Amino acid sequence: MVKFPSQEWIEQFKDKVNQNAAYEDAAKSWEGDFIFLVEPDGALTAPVALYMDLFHGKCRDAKMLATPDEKSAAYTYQGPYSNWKKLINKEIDPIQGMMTGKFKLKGNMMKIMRYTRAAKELINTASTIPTEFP
Amino acid sequence: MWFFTSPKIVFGSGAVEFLASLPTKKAMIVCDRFLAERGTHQVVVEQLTKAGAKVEVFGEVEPEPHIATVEAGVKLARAFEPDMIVGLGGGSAMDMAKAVYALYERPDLTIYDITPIVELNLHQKARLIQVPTTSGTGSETTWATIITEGEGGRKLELAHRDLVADWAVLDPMFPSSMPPKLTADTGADALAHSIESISSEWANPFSDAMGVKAVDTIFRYLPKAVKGDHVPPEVREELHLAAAMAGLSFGNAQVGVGHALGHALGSVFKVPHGRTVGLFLPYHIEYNFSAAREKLGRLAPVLGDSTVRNGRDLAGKVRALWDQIGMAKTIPECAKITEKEFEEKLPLLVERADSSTCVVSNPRIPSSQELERIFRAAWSGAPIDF
Repeated sequence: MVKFPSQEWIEQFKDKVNQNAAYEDAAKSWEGDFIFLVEPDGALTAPVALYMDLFHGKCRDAKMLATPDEKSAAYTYQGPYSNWKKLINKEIDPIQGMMTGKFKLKGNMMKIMRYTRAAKELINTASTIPTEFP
Repeated sequence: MWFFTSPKIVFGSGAVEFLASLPTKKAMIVCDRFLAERGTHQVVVEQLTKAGAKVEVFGEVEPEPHIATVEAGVKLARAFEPDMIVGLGGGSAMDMAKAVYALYERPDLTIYDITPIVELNLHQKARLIQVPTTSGTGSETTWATIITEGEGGRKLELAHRDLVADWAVLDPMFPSSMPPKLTADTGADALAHSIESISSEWANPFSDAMGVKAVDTIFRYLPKAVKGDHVPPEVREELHLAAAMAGLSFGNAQVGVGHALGHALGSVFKVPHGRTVGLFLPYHIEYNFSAAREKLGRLAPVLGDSTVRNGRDLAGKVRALWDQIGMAKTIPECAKITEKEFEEKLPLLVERADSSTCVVSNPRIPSSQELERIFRAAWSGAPIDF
């Protein structure tokens, strides 16, 4: 089991993404990095930012940032820790999550709306990581 | 957590007269070119005038409307400053009314900002009223608007909850003169909305109630509306309400891969929307049945069957309906293109279907290879089994 959020978790996520042929197919023309911002609630007392550089169906780099503003990215997907837990457990659909205000997305909407399949594959991948929630 | 969003609905014979009771000072009608040329909009102008409104008509909406037409409509709206915008026509006119309405209310936005994941905060300057003249699009009850980027361009699948009309006016007078082919195309669109939304991962009890009722009505009445020499008014009315219900179904649960494929084919080869999504509906069923067996199984009783055993059974019922009403079941019947043209455009078709937001809630996430296989099956008319 890997603790979420952590450096170990994001590294496993990177490995799983890079092994996922369905994601690679869906995101084969995607270019853009993400910050996944986990806002504190419940057991999490401070914000945590996870960075992923996604390029042509692969993850080129992934790390937990020392602080949320250590790095900027083309997109920021953010929500409270309890909602991340539900997302990774597939209790929340990633797109419905945004439409119901459980998550927010900042970045170029026109571009990302063409990659909804990739977004779903990405979350499906995250849910395959044996995750421990503190 | 989820929502069920609906406009207030006034329906039945004489429903258009309701417009005279809505207080308004300036009303802008957004309508199809041919409706404006035929003067159909005058019925609405008359009611709005009774309400004391000054009326401006934007009668420039073309089939599969383009961004340039949205811009022209927005320019007129900003100059006229209406407190009511009325979409009058088929899906193109009502979709155009939504896009014009959004950008009139929010001049700081571009059309690409109309996504369900941003705050729009509309309904500040004007009310949005939708009056459908066909029975199929469901745009009168949905939050979606389809705008084409340009000639031969991609269809932008825009949506936002704030685009749901304040009122939908369902008067069966308007679709009463639809010719058989248009009745078939639009009815097929409504059936695709219903079945795709029932199979959706976002389906919910409210959307299902609307979808199942719409499927029942469409199977009962669409053949009568297409084949009859004189279509009884009650048949037209049933189908008009069913189309709005189908809109409420997919507007609250989404469509699926059938629409993704249909939008791609329609945009590349300029084929009417209802015809393309009708063509792909049996494929949507066959492809998704294994992942949506329970949901689609709910259709068995309304289709006069004790069970729906597999996707082929259910798709077969749709294909039989298409035979009754003369709908295309293959791409060559639908698009009038050569195999060479099809093969040349196949990568573009796949790319467009692949990037469609319609797949977001599809029961299965199709790969590019699967999308290509479905397109190829639809070329030959062969069912699919993967």
